[in-house]
Amino acid sequence: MLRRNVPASNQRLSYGAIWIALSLIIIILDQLGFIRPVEQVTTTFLRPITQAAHQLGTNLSRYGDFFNENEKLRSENALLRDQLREAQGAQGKVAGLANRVDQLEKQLKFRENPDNKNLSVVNADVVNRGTSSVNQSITINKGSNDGLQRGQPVVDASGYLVGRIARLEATQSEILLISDSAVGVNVYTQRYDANNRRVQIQPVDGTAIGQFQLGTSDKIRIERIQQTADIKQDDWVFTNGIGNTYPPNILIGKVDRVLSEDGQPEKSAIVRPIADLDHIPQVLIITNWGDH
Amino acid sequence: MSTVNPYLASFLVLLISLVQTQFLPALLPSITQYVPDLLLLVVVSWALLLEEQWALPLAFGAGLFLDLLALGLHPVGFNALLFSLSAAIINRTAPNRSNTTVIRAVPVALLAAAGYHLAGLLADRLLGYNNFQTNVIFQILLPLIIIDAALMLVIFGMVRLVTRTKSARD
Repeated sequence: MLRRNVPASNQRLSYGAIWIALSLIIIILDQLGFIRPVEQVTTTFLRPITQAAHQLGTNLSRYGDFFNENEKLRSENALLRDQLREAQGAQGKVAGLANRVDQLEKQLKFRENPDNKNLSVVNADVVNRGTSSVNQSITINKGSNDGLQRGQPVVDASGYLVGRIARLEATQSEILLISDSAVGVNVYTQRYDANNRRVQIQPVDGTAIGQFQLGTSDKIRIERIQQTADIKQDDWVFTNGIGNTYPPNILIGKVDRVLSEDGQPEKSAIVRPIADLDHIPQVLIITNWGDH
Repeated sequence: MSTVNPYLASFLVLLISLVQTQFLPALLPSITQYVPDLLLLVVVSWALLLEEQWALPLAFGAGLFLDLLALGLHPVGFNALLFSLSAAIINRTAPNRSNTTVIRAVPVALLAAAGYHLAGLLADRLLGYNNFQTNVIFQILLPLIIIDAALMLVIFGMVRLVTRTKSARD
């Protein structure tokens, strides 16, 4: 009988091809939804151990934050002492600063906005930070079993915009944060005076785009604003509801600074989100609003 | 022939994937983009040290476990595919496994991490996320690839230690 000698290189190639083909089959099965039960079982069994690892990291991070915060507070304290000395001769200035802090706190109570009463929400816990290096996301412990759908907007416990659902599994979902460039939000700006009264301005409409992929400390940017548009630092930024992808009047953040270059027909604004995107323990998923 | 204790290998995969996907992102929430690809480095080390009948199933299993452990934006099987592919290519192109040194492992890890992230960007594009931008490549991925390569000095030594333990008994 003639014995066929298969070259070793061909054997290795075919052996590698088996595992690659198996991976491709799993990807296809996942796209068809057949892997969801496996994911559900795996997630359930691994949850205690993943939560323990996550909690350990979170606690250590807070421990580090404590020391950093301590140092920051010390320097802030020294700065405030200097400021107080300067202000002793002008108490009116101190009163003005205190009043401003008070107003800012009042403005942060966005939750009391009557527009938010129409929202149907599902609450969820954040179980992990995203593991992708090029997208900024978080994982929550609610999924399609809880009635969630891809694209639904997500806010933090105070009602400030956090992001939207990008991927959905049975018992968990991946949320892309508003600081990711894949998330664009149609927004408008609003201004309040020192007495917390709304200032009548022509609101600036635009699209806020995340800046995470640029590797800068800036989180969100509104681009292509007309040079003549009335926008300045400390203006508040809300969703305008255009496109029906986000409910209107959800607070996103404040204008940190306006960037304008001479000779350019447009300017842009950097927005500082109100939600603490690096430390979100719980979120609310808006499943329905108004006519949506 | 170099082998590895499958229980030890499974424990290593579990430990490293927990560190990569749960512990480090929670520890460093503001710089999650620079969390190193530790499991990829383990797979690359196995591909350099072990025969293919060990390296490929371990790569596939590690990738699949990573897929199931961390949700992410990519479908389940994505990491299994890339890890298997990386292991197959490295195993095929790297002879003299017993003499593999860390000096050789570092550039291999650099190339593997670059290929892994390049494939990730292409997959993102297929999914509708346009991350194929100069800023992403130069400000996020390039530093991350360098971090990966640097960490290979530690990971490779650790994996080689585990692999040799079993070989000595044999």
